[in-house]
Amino acid sequence: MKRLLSIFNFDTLDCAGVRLPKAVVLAVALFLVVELLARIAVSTGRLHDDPTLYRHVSEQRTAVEAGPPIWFLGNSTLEAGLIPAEFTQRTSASPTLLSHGSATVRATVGMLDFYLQNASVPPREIVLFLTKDDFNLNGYRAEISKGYIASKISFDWLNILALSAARENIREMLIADLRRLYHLVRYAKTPTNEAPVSAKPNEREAIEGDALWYENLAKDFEIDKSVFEELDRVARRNQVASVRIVLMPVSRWYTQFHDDRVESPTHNEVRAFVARQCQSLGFALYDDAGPFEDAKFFEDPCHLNEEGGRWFTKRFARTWNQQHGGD
Amino acid sequence: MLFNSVAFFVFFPIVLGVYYCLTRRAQNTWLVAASYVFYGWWDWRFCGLLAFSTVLDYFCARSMPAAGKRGRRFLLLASLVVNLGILGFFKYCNFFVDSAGELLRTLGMQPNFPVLQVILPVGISFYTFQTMAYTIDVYRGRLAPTRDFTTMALYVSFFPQLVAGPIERAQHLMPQFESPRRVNRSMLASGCLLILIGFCRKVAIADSIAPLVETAFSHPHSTNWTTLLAGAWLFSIQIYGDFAGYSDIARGTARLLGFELMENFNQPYFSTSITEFWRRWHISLSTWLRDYLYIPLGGNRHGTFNTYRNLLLTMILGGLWHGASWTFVVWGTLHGCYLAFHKWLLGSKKAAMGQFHRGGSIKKTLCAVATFHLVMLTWIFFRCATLAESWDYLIGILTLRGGLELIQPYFIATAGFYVLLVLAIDIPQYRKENHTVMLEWPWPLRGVAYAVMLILIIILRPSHETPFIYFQF
Repeated sequence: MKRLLSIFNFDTLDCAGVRLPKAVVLAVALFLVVELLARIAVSTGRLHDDPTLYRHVSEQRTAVEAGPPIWFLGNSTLEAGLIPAEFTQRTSASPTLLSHGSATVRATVGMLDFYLQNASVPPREIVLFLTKDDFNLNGYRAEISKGYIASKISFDWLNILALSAARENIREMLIADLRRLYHLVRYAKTPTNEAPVSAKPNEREAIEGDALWYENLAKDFEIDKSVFEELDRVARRNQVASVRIVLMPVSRWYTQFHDDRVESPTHNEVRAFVARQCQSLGFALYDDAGPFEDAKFFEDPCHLNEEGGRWFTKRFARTWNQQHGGD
Repeated sequence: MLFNSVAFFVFFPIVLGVYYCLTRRAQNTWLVAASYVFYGWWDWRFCGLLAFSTVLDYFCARSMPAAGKRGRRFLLLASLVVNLGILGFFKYCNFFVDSAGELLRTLGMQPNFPVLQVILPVGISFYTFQTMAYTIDVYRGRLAPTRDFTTMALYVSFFPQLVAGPIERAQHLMPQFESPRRVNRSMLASGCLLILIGFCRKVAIADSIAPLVETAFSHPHSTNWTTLLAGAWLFSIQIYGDFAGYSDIARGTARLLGFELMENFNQPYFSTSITEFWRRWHISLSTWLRDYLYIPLGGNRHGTFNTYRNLLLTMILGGLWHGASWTFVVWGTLHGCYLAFHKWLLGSKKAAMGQFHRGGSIKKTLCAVATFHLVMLTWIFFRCATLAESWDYLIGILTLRGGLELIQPYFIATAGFYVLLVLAIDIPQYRKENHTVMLEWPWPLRGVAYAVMLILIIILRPSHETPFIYFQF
């Protein structure tokens, strides 16, 4: 015992009579004031707390817990292209939308598996809304989708601070101010002293996209050939009765751009691949991937605008009703 | 374990709390145990490697004084061969196999070499160089070997600097381990400040810039030149923030434990020449390379040609130290060429040009800007995965790919913000040549500075823990 006690000694820390420095007290006080302001801003709605994927996914997970019968999964093309209220009105089906920005099919299937594990009852039907770039194993979307579950949806203990929870919103506000400053300087010499405003999408004759952006999406295009088999496994394991694939409408520019740069698979070859896979695995397919000439329906080459959304929802609802024996 | 992880925020207070209650010898044993936990958190299997390196160099060095000249040489060789062998196996095996295969394929042969699935142990280059320095110094008679195994074990595994340096010398660190330590108010204050600055550099600057850098570097062939150029600038800031941030946190945590680690960064981007840059960037590695490679190769003692050759060789090996890839070889070669060219300017009739950077403040600024851009050029090779990608990146900038379209406002605004942040930290430190200069400020100003740094860390931190770039080396 004596030997054990001999290893203890309290001489290392030499802080006799040391008081907390004034600077530290001031720093803590300032920090608390800023935190309080952030809390007030959040409670009055001036700041949005936790606009993170964790919250988004948590909300979606809560939504599926009770086991709604129809799930629609996809990324921003689903969010832009389908108007849920209108769909429900036309079909009397109430789908639960589960969207994940920029997610590839692989990431969407991963998220589907995650939600299915949290649902009390598996859905009767799941529908995946996709475009050709979602199948690319390389490119921007594949990068973004890496670790979609692993890194981004874990609980963040620091979010008990309002400053931390609302940090993305604060960052956006900071950057927006800097951007405004940049615009002021950049366009200071134009006669109107304002930044030039591009024509609204539906005023343009033809839709066009940023070439660099779309090249990044289609970079080293390689179809994820096994992803539908994975989807099939997930669906079977969770006793999902029906799986449906929807290929979303895209513009002529979008498909032409792809075909000009990617020798194989072309846009139509991707569609053919999806059709073959759906046939062999027994998935229903609704291929509405056009391509469409009418620029008035598109926000950009692969996202529908509001008018386009209504147009697509109407078309999809009609097909849905035909296949489900509705109106 | 990462400094910026939740685990470390639990681990360190426990280590510190117990440490302050122990006697010196018990403190050392406690720190060795803590260091192995710290290292094993990543992969416990590699603790054996750390222990093996410790035992090997402890016995090699300890046996040297009693051995004859040939015996000492044998012991040194044994230590070097085994240490470099382990490093070579884990780090360079596949690189040399791949390169040999590539060479044979270009000669028309069809080699079928096996590819080994080797996991690179974190920080292996750092602690291998540190143990090698110890054995070499004992061999040269500059240092008496320690008889205390715990001291040796702590020297190799000391957790604040284990995985990414600074690469400490035994002459500097071991005497600190062997004497009682006192942590007074000024050490506590400066230690905490260094940790705060380190986190600000790493979390608020480097990690926040990382996605922008990724945008530029992920698809160089389809990115416009302004984004590529901004990406290279930003990567220069990212790697500095990341590595200098790590060094600051390491020095701060060591100071809270009562130890002083060497300075590893000293505002390198304010350097007015490439020679000065290497006196300010990764100081522990550059001095290691100087003392254990450049000088043994002959240094500048055998004529101009040999000096340039030695510089080039040293920097190429320095490049390879970072990683097993041709991109690092090019990175080192470029730095070697820069250093040789600068030496030529200084030593030849062009002395006036070589001394340009010692002129007035405008001259100095011009030189600093030029030096920064020369260094930035080498970072492109450092960051890209392959030589082809680096070349594509450079070509993109040089051919003004994408025309004269201005960069996205978002990119400009964000980049400008981070540059200002770096300058706000570095300019006061540079002017006073003191990393804890803030402690000399009036207390209200200090209070505001601490609060601002803390708030920035919280607001700008990414949503997940990001490893330090230099962990991979």
